[in-house]
Amino acid sequence: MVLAIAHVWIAEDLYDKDYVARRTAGFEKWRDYILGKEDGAAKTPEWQEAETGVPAKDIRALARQWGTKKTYLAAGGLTVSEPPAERRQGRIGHAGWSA
Amino acid sequence: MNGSGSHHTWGALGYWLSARIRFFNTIGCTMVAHNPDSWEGWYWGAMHHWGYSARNGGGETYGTVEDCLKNAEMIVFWSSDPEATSGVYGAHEGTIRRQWLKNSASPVSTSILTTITRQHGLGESGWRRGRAPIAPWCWRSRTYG
Repeated sequence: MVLAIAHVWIAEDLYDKDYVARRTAGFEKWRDYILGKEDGAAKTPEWQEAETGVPAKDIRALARQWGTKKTYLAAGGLTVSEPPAERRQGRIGHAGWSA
Repeated sequence: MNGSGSHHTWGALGYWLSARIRFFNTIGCTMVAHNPDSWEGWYWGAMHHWGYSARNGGGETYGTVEDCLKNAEMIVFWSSDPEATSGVYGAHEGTIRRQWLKNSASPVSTSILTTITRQHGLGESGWRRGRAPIAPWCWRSRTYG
């Protein structure tokens, strides 16, 4: 599901490229994996549907909404939270969450 | 198993004053006195006492509420439903933050993903392997304000 959300952000150009450039390493390799260049399987919302049972249309809609609004991620669990909102939309590469 | 650990209120045998001691006395054991949350800094104590913990690159979560309330247009409750799993591990006091959002001026939409609810929870070791036992897909969108 995470990968499919990222796929939408990458494919539809909805992520924060400035943040990725300044604060991440190895994004290109990961992006290629998401896009299926590494194993031939693009990690699309349709791809994840069989695994999660969550309809592809829902993932796509969520990813688009997430990628176009200033979004705060309030995640259950420890250590996994995304500092929001002030300047970011669709941030990719947040360690611990998207990897 | 013969130490109650930090989470001493979890489980019938995990609790300090539970059947744990009786149980282990029946089979014999050597008790472990681990002092997980001590102020001296053993185990978790260092983090609790001195602040800061290695978050593997994850952002520091403390102090983000103001930014959230001022700037967020949308909140994604991932692995948590603030109505059902608020509290520890339940997405950062989600219930009270939603109340504050209602009181704030700007409309904020929320998406609640419970499909992988509690998947991150350290206690649910079974859930960490493979998929969650049930996948009650639920994506609710609401707008406050």
